Amino acid sequence: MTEESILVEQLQNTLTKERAFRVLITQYKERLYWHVRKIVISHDDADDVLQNTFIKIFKNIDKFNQESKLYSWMYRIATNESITFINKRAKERNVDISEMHSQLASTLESDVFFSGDEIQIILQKAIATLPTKQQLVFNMKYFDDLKYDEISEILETSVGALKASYFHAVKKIEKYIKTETN
Amino acid sequence: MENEIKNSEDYINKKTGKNSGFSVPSNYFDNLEDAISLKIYEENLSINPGFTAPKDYFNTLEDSVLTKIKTPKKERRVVSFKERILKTIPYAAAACIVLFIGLNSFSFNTNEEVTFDSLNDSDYEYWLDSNTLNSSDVSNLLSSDILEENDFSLTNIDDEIIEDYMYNIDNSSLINEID
Repeated sequence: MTEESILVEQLQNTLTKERAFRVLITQYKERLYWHVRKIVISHDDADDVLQNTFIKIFKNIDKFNQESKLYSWMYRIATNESITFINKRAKERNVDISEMHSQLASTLESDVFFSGDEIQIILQKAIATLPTKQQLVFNMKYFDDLKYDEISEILETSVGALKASYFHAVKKIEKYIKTETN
Repeated sequence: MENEIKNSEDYINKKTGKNSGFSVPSNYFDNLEDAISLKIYEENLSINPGFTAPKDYFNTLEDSVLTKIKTPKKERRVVSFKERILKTIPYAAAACIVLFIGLNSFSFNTNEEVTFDSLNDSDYEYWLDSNTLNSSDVSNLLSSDILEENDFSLTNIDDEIIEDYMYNIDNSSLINEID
C-alpha cells in the first residue's frame, strides 16, 4: 500500500478525515497555490480559489475512486476552479476570456506581490495572449516541470494534443518576446 | 517539432528564466491549514436561520407590490423654509405698522399737557358734582403751598400811595375788611 493510498483511506474514514485532511493541505498547498496563481494572477484571487479548491476536495474525497493519482485529481479540481473563477470575472466585467487574461496581466506592474522585472512582465503578457488550454499546458510544462503524462491525466487530454499545444505556446511566446524586446 | 520546442524553450529560458516573478505575503503558507479548516467548519454550519414566511406570501408578493405602486399618491406640496419665511413677511410688516400707529396714538403722544387753563367751566362743575371736597384735601393743599408772610409785606409800597389810599377809601368798607 502506497503512502498516497493510505492517506486517501484516512481521508475517506470519518474518524481520521480531519487529521488526514490537514496533512493533505500541508503536502499540496504550495504546489496547488502556484498552479492557481499562474492562472488567476492576483494573490487574493489565488487565495480564494485555493481555499475553495480544498473545500471541494474535502467535500468530494469520498467520491475519489483512485483511478487517477490523488495529486492529478486535486490539480484538476484546482484548474477547474481557476477557470470557473476567470470566466465568472469576465462575465461580471462583460469582456471575453482573452480580454480578461490581458486585463489581469496588465495589473502586474502595480502588484505588490509580483517581484519580477520587466522581462517577466513581458512573459506574463505573452502567456495572457494564448488560448486557455495553451496557457495551462505552458505553465505546467515550463514552470512546474510536469511530464506530458501527468498533464494528460490532469487535463484529460491526449499527450499528442498536449505536445501540439505546447509547441504552439512556446512559438507564440518566443515571437512575442522578440517583438517586445527588439 | 521536438527540436523546435527545445530551441524556443531555451530562448525563453535565456531571456526570462524559470522564475514566474510571483510572490506571496510572508508567512502566508504557515497558517493556511487553519484558514481552510475554519472555512470548512463555517460551511458546515447550518445555514437555515429558522425564519419562516406565511403561507402563499411569495405567491401574492408581486400583486401586493404592484398594487402599492399603482395607487396614486396624494401629492403633498413641500413648502420650503425660505418660502414659508417669505410668506410671513407681509403679515409681519402689517403688524409692525399697526403697532407703531397704536403706540404712537396712545402712549407716545404725551405733548399735550392738561392745565387749569385748558379746562372749561363745565369740567369744574362736573368734577365738583361728582367729588366731595373734604378737610384733609384742603389741609394737604395748604401745607404744601402755604402763603408766606412776605407775600403781604408793605415795605415796598411808598407812604404817599398808602396815604392816598387812606383818603380815598370808604371807611365802612375799611371796617368791613378789618372784621
